[in-house]
Amino acid sequence: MLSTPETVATHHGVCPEGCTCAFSVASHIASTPITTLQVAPPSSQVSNTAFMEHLEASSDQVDGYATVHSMLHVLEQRASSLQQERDQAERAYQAAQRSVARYKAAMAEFGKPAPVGSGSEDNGGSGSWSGTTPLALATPPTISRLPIELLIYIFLYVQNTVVAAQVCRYWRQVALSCPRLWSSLHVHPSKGGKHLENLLKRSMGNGNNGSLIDVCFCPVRVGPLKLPADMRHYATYQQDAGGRAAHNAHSSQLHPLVNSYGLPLSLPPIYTQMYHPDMCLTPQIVSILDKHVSRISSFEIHATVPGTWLTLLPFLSHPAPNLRTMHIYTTLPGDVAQLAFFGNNSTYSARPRQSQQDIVSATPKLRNVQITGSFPLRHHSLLLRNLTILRLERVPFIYRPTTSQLSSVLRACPELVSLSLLDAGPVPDEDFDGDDDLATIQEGPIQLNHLRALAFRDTDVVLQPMTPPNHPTTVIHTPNGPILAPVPGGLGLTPTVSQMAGAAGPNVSLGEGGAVWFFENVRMPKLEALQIMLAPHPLACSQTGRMLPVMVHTPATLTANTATSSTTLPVSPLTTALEAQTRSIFQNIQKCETLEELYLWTPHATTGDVYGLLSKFESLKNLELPMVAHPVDTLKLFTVPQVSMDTNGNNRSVFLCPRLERIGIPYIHGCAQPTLEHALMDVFNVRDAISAPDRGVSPLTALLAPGGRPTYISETVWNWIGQRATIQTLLTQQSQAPSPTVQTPSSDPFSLPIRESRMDMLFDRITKEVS
Amino acid sequence: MSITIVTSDNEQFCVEKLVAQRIALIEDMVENAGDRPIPLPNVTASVLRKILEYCEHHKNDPLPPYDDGSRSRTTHISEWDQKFITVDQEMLFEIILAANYLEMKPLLYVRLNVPRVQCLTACNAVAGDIGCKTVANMIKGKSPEEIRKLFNIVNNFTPEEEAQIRKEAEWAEDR
Repeated sequence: MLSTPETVATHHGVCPEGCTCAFSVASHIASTPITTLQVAPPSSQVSNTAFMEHLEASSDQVDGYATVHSMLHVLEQRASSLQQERDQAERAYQAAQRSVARYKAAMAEFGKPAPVGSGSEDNGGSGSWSGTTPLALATPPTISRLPIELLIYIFLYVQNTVVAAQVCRYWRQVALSCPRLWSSLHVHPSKGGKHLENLLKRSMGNGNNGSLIDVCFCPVRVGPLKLPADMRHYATYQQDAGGRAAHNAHSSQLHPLVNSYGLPLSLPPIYTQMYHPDMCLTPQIVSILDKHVSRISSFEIHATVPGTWLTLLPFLSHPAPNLRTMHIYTTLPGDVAQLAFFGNNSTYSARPRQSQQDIVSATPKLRNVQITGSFPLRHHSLLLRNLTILRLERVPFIYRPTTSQLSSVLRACPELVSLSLLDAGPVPDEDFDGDDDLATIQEGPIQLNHLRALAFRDTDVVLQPMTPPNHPTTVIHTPNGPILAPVPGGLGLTPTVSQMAGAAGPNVSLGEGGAVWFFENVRMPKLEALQIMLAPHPLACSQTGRMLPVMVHTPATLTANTATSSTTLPVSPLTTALEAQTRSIFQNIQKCETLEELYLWTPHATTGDVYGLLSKFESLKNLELPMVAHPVDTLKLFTVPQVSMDTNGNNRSVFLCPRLERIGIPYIHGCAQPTLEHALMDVFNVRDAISAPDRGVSPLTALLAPGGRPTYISETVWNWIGQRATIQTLLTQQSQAPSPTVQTPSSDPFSLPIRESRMDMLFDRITKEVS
Repeated sequence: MSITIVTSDNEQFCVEKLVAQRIALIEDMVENAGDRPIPLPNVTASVLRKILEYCEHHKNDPLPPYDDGSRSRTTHISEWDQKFITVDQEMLFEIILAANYLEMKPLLYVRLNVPRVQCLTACNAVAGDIGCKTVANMIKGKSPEEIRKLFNIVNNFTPEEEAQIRKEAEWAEDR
């Protein structure tokens, strides 16, 4: 703007608006000094007419081309500004109109007369009112009426605060005023360093410490990684890694950088310069995050690209005093096994070892650890302590914890509430040749007095795909073709199972995830939810194309099996071994009076063994039986009373699991099974008939059908069950297709002949509660 | 035992005590009010009816854990709640505001089993949980312009702010 002669002098030859218009030339031409031009800036306070008059008055006092040009320039700007104001006013007017219409409708609904005249949304109208107007109706509710804390609360759920901050001034002010809203950092290839930097800046707020942050390195698409020829064996090695012995024997050859760097990662540092195109981690990203490690509350990473961990090393070397949750999904198990997390590696490398007492964990607040793909072998005692949730999943055999390592972890986590070992059970110690000082064996059972939820899955026995070519193997001949299996003892089989396998035949081997050891040595007196999944898993088998004769739960064999309620298949040595193993596990499970929920996937448990297990849980309310060897017989267990003697010496009838309220149906594909259907109806009928509060027997009120109606239940029976019990399914809202047997929901859900609800598993509830 | 509640439009509701106690504010007022009706001057009858419907349905639910704001935030809403909250925008915001006023969590239920100080904080912070989740779900995946249209919000940014936002969009899209 031209306001003073000084201004003009300063901008001699340059347009004061900063544009490249002809003003710069014109100002040279104009010989008369511009002394008195007072062109007011476009302002909403000045009316158009006043502005024009002012302009005309000013033009009397100046001459020259420059003046005219500058007037035109200012006028153009003014016009554009007015246009913007007009548009805004028009939008506001339309909004007010809509609000008034809605408001009138609301008044009509309440039987109140509409106000005379109409006003804008903001002033609530200038009309008069008849009668008493409730305060709440004075202005129609809109999102702008929500108090700041609720708007923040909504933004927390929206998660994309960037968009929310671009809606209007109020939203922007609210969003920028709350550092917590910017604290969720999803690092993804599509977002670069600037994005991250800005989010971190906003999450700092005005304070020095800023908000705690959640960092998630999002999953990326993994494509083929181009490696130079001489480096290919690194990747190959990772894929083919077999036994621990093989690992050690060849590690120095395969990882020439082990000695100098101490970290035999997937790729040596020099090659991490060749970043995968989809890789979200670059040194730039890591260096930006580096300064904020102390603020991290939650750390999640999907590491599937070789080099990921190496890039993260500087980041991971800092202590993380506020870290509460760590979730790692990796396909680079060897790396995780060797890695240190957040400075928990003070004993690693060539430095002299310190005693554990001297080391203070760098993650004092860490309570929730979930790792899929590996077990952090070297630092378990530091990283995995004082946890309330621990979940290890799909850990390749050679990277599983040993029994003493797991023992050490569990002893360090006396407050553990939820524990999941899903194909991650321990392996015996004698095959572990790692740090002896971390594998101290302590005497006595492990007490987990706060453990409420346990899931133990062991589904990959005999299906270890990671067998190195040079490792001693044997071939098991099955009707479905030969299977390459490790020699017993070679991969750390438990003596018990090895012996059983040895007894069963020289060519048969069983891998076993340490379930026997676990249930023998761990005491969980307050357990509420227990999931046991013992293998082989039919899905795992079908995926690998390896079927064993013991897989009695293939559709055809299971039908045959359940129809006669007895095993008609030739009993193979492996079947016998698996049954013995399951029995051994069941026998080791302690009696528990607090257990409410049990999930059994135990295809090799005999009915007698299942009965023995169930009789230990008197408080059981929910039972899911997706896979038992003899489902019909198992269901009959709940309808037949057992006679027992009470303290007075009198005989009395006792029903199995008297408090059972919900039962999950067996999971059987593609077979018609009327016997099973009738057994299920019997359970409902009998439990209904015998239920009485004084006897302590509850009726069945819910049926758990995760996949909807199975083929062995007819539509009639399905409806019959639905009329007397709630049917709970796993189907999500999106995928839920209306079942032909279920009527369209009406306004009253209780009028439906079939009551449906989502599955509500105690296990998930407990875990969620503490996470 | 039942409790009488009077709404802002002078409608009286006779509510079972067990149900009413799910609302923290009413529970507090019951102690002082004795047998007298409890006035709720900021809640209309139509909104209270909805709230009580919710309380009735969830009266036997277990108490939710204390939420200090650090938990993961999913916007999943159960099937029944989803149907319950399928209302027009005005009613939705009325419910959220009323829940906020009544100190309810989540949405309209449950007195927290935590010390009173924590309870108040938690209630105030998360009242209208289901309502807020619903609004969040409405916002998710939409552009600023679509959000403005949806909630009838006027774009009142100054040119300077617009320029700032344009820059922001650049770094947000930066690769």
